[in-house]
Amino acid sequence: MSENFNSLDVDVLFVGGGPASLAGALHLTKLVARSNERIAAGALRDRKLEPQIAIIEKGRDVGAHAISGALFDPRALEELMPDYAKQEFPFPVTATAHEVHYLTTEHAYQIPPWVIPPAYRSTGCYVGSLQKLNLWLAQQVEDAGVHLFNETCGTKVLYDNDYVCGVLTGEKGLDSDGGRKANYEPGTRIQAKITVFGEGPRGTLAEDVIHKFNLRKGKTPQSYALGVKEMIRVRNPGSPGLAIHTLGYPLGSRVFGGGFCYGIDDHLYAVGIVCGLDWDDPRMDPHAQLQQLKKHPLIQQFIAGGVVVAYGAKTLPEGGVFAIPRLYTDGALLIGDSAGFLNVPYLKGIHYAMKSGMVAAETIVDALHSGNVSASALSSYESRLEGTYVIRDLHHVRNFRRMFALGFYPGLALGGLTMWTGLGPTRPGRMREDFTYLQHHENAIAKQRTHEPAQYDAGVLADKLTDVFHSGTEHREDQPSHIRIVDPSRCLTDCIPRYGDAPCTYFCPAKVYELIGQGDDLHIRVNFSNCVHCKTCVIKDPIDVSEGDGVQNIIWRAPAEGGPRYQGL
Amino acid sequence: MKQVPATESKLTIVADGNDIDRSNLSFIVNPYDEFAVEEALQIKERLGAGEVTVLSMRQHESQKPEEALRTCLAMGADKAILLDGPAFHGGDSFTTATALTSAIQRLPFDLLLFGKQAVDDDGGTVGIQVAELLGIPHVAVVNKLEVHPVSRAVVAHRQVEDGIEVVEASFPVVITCQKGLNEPRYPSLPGIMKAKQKPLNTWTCEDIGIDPGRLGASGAKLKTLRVEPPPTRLTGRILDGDTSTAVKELVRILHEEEKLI
Ligand SMILES: Cc1cc2nc3c(=O)[nH]c(=O)nc-3n(C[C@H](O)[C@H](O)[C@H](O)COP(=O)(O)OP(=O)(O)OC[C@H]3O[C@@H](n4cnc5c(N)ncnc54)[C@H](O)[C@@H]3O)c2cc1C
Ligand code: SF4
Repeated sequence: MSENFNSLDVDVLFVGGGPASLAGALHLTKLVARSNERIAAGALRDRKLEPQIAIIEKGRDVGAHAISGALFDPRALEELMPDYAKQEFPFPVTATAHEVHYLTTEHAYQIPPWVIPPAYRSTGCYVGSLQKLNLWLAQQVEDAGVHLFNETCGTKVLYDNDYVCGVLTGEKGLDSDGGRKANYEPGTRIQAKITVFGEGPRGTLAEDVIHKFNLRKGKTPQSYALGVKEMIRVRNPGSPGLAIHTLGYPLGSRVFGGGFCYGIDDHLYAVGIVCGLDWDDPRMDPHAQLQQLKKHPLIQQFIAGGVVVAYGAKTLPEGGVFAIPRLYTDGALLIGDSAGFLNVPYLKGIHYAMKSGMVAAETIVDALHSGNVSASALSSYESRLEGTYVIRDLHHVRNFRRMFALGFYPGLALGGLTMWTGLGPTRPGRMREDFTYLQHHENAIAKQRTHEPAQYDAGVLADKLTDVFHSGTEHREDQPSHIRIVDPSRCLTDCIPRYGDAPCTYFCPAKVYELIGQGDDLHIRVNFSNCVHCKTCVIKDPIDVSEGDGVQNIIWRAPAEGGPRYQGL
Repeated sequence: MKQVPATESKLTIVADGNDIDRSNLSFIVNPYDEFAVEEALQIKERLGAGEVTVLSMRQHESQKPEEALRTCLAMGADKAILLDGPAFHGGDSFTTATALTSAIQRLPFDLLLFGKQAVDDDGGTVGIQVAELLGIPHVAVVNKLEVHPVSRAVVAHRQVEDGIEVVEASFPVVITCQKGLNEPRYPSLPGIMKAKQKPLNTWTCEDIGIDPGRLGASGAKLKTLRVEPPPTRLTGRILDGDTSTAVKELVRILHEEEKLI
């Protein structure tokens, strides 16, 4: 590897350009300006701050890897920019009615609205795409003087005597063997006083920091869900403001999760399904489940005759309040989905992500003033956050997800009860990592459900590869693969005998893994250029190659180049 | 340099049917123009002298050519100029060439590099028209270029049907760039930081002394009557069975169903 790096010094570095970092960086510029005004007015005796603030984002822009529902609760934005509605805010549509339906194969039963606690009703939330929100925030952030570096992936955390002191960005222009092409561009060592990890769920670098400093000590392991989503364009007038959540079919009682269908504008629907990754069925395929959901009469009434125009997939952290790691260490903070602030029954994370970034900004201003970026100085981030709705809301629903470990129907009843009352244990229960649900089954083949072979029509029902095309994802065919199977022989000695199949070929929503060849030539092919960066494989891969150390057979590192190019997800 | 919709964009057509809907598009530097910028930078680096200026024009309100120009500055160009104002909107390749020519006449130059075509409308004539309007030579679709500063000439290679054509031309000259000429560099982070300090000037039609009537729809020689999407792609079919049955089935389909053979 090259020792020849570019270098760049900043004061504060946000890794990942999602709503958490964008809101955090913007709030930071505002807090700095406010404190400088007070200093200028003599109200505060301190030196003026002129921090260099940078955000790095691996996507082509901050919208390219952004995927969400999205029903957007403007709570954090109201605080960040009270006049947001006057600033060309990109969401013209609000949810007019929020319906929850329980689906059977043929029918839909609407759950009476009064059953749903008021705090979980999405009526009044904005309906739109996270891409637009991110691009809009990015404009404000850049106008405020923040350096936003797109197509820049953090590939390594820089440590200095156990202090986090920045990140190294990926080298570009490498060929498939790691050799340098004519346009080779070395990585950059971005040194920062404070590094804020807002990489979204299961951040490659955030997890490195969490492991190194054992930040999950005393917490439950994080558990995840995979969300797959399509945008469907219809000719008939659509239903802007429609917000439907579904339970039951097609996931049934074996997989925790549900579907959604949102009316985005006059001709566009967002349809998706979110599946808890603690399933035990080795042939569970979330993409196929989405197609099943789309065939249901409740959804068909909206999308029949339409065409898929965009597709994407991403994981969501569902472990709740007990799975949140310690949020600070020397020189670093964790924000947004990288920390795990997602409210499962409310199915919302954007405003919690934003708020966490903003609270981090408050701590950062103090640290910049004092010049102290040690863990103890940064620990006020965690205590501040505890006083906000981020932790309060997550604490209220702490037992919702856990009730489903008792089975789906009792879970529904008890989970619903905890939503109303906030009651239940206040200490974590035992939760296992998602991959163990496949791993520990003695008779995993028996857990398989037979999935009816899907029929696709290239219109409103799409096969996986067509959907990969709709994600716009691309990695140069001659770039080094960012996915590595540590010991390919284990696929044949572990998975095939145990499951009669390779689960990765089902759970990956982008057909990256393919079982090909026959007899002695049977092997897994890794089509890395299809990857949409959802992170399911690192979470769900059942083979633990390190015998208990948590190193799985699939290693996924954020690539220096490429990835999805989502449009309006 | 033209900013074009990203190549993976899903285009839809606006209600009146004579343009694409540009409201939700991502834009990129036209890939062939990237070859031109890279070539200019390499020439400057090889000669250790010269200045690279990037010129662009906002043709539609929705475009953000400033971003594309900043990208070129981050790659290493010295300065950027944007032709901007309602007069430049719409029009065709002729009005584009007319506007660019007026701007270029206000700049010192030896070598004008263009992409061989823009990947959005695939016209492929702007560079050549500029050469015509300026009354200077051009060499189109070049995939190798030597520059000789002392004799003030270039030797350009172009791929033609059955070989390579080698053309010599003297300064000032227009070159349009083809894939294979070079591998465009990635903007480095220090390059992006430096680009923020580099000049990006905006010129209006008054600045380049051109009558707005010669630009846009009124100056255009072409009129778009209608824009239609290409026919939708049909789903593929995978034929089951071993090779010999699959081949037989394929021949049967080609002969009986598709009537191609
Ligand atoms: C299908 C689905 C539906 C959802 N629906 C809703 C909803 O309706 N309402 C709601 O409020 N929330 C919803 N959520 C959750 C919400 O989208 C997330 O909580 C929110 O996006 C988290 O924001 P973030 O900034 O923490 O992370 P992200 O939005 O994930 O952003 C992280 C960014 O960091 C970048 N990145 C990652 N690693 C690196 C690296 N090493 N270097 C550089 N860049 C990197 C990524 O490319 C990405 O752009 C949904 C999520 C999904 C998947
Ligand atoms: S390879 Fe892994 S990260 Fe990429 S799309 Fe498949 S499951 Fe997601």
